[in-house]
Amino acid sequence: MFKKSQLKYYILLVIGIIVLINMLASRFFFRLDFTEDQRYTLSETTKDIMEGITEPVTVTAYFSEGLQPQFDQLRNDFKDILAEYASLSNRQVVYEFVNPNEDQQLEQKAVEAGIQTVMIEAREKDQSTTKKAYMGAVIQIGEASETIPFIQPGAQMEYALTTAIKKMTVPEKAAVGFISGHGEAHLSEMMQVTQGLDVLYVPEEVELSDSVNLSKYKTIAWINPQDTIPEEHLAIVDAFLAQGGNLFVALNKVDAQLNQGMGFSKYTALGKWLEGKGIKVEDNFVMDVNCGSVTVQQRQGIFTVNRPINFPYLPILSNFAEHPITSGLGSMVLQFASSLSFSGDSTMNYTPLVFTSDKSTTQATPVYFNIQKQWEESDFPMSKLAVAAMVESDNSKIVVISDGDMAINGSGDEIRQVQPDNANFVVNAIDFMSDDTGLIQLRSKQVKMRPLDQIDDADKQILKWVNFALPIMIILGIGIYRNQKRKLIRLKRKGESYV
Amino acid sequence: MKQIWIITKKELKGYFDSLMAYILIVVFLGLSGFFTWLYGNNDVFFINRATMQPFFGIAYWTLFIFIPALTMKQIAEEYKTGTIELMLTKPVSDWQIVTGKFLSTFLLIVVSLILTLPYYISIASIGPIDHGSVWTGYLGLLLMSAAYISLGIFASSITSNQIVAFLLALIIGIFFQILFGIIASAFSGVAGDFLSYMDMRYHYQSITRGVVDSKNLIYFASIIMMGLMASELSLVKRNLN
Repeated sequence: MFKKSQLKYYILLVIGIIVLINMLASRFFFRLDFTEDQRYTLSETTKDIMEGITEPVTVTAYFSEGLQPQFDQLRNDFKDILAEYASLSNRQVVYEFVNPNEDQQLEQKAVEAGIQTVMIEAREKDQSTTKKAYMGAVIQIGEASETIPFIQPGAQMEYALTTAIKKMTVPEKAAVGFISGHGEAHLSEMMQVTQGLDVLYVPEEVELSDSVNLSKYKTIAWINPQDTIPEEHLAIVDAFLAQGGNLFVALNKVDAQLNQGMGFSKYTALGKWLEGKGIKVEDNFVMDVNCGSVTVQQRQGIFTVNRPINFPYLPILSNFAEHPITSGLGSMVLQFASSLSFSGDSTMNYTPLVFTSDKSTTQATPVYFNIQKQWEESDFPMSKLAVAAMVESDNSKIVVISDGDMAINGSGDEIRQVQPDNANFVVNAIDFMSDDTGLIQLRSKQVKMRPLDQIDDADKQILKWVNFALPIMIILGIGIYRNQKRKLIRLKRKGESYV
Repeated sequence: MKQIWIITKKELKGYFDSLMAYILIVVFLGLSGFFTWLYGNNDVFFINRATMQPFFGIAYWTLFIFIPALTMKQIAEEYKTGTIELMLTKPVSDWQIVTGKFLSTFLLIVVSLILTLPYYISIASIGPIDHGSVWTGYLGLLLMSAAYISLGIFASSITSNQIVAFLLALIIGIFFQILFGIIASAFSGVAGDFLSYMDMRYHYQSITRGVVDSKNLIYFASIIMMGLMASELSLVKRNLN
């Protein structure tokens, strides 16, 4: 028992011990990552890259202080991840945190290094103000330096850091050729893909002509040709493959004319040529119960309302083969894809990579799109149709995906973001075929999506209400049961025979 | 330990025999269920991802209100009815009383959270949920609840008025839940770091995303210990007086 005089010493001692433990804990700590894909643990790829580093890596993190708590958390998270890098590289990674708002010279330095200025709402002296803030980093290895202009809350810091380090440690970037001249998408129309490739490669457009030299490429890509391809151009690619080159193809074998409400076959000669190489892209439209939606205008009385409705010609795909190309991908969204099949012989090795869901089907061309149709599950009797595949023969590999537009961002007013995993698939395939799988895991780690299965509205309503009501019913049931039990005991006690 | 368990059982039985506890659990489950499944702005089907984050987001706030309401009578009522004197004549220490009462409320929260497992089972049945981050999410809720319970018991130990105990627990909670984070943004340097560190949301979110960091565990353990020790000292001081 305490005496009154001892009490204050006891309080001070307890507070002192707790403060000390917390201070020590901020220096010596461990982290256990329980996420399925180890999202918050440095990956093997990062470890491999860090082990290969022979020069010191200096990271100068420009982080404003005194912002809202989520930005403090971001700074702490970034600090933690840098501590992991430092321990992984035997202290080859050294880092410092600078608050650019402290000093005008520091701010100038941050801006000159390419750190982005962001405006953030803050509260100062009872007034809401907009504060200039910086949340970026400059990474230096020897003379080379890379800047991460802005790290936003929730961003994958490991991907940003490792790719920046990798960029500086790649001795010479290899070129990747993108075939042009037949209405293909230009590099400027595929920002997400080119950004992904920029780390290890120099993407460049290449026209197939008599004088073209494809031998400098390990891999070439053929994205969405529109015109009929001359025989001689296909012969040049044949020769490239014969020399051990690799090819990535994103091809539209069918075309949707939404303004006419119809879909047709499309001929570019590439489909037929691919059939000879072992992959047949069918003349059909793949449809999936798990799909994106289109907005349609409907009249309701005197009003016209825009309503999104499911459109099975836009399959959302989350069935992937166990393969480095699809490693870690969450979901891809295609538009008017076709199914693939193997048309080769025993000298070829065929690997389907991306599949539709268990409830899917195909429609042969020509197709009349019925936007108003209420789709039933029975309309989708097929399952796991391949829409992307790889065929290997001799020393060459060809990866084909049956949607030419899947990674095209477009240009001008029609620019759009594509599903991140669509671009990741293209970059992963090129990485894999060029024998550099290093960043595949990291890239997809950035954008792991976990979409819900498509379920019909009735089941959705049942799930909603069951989950809302069931826990309440259970606790009310427990309450009623206990109340009845107590009542019975009371009645028993009132009884004459109770002793 | 035996004495602690006897107190825990008695208090837990008291909860399950009181209408108040049922009302609070129904309100907690009702709000959690409504915002996780029915409210068409941030519910599971609206965000269309197999994740329990909508629930963890709302439970963070509902438990914050729910817990002071559960703890307000814990010791305050004993003062008011005079049963605390009776209790202190028994061979139990102040620490055992405080810990027993803490455990009973904690077990009630565990029961309330077990009742939300249908959410988890349902989401897991319709999408590739990340099981690891769900379990750490529940761990985060339990740690946060334990911290608020200990603070709530402390508030209840310094007054005999339950409403005052409720408001006091809520005010202390508001500092950890909201104010430390906001005040931190007005300070820089050591003061700013300290206030940011005191912000419970930072530690909670770190755990619910799937990472168990020893720093977060020690933070929660410290708050729990401080709350319980302060409650014990409050009882000791009352006895000495």
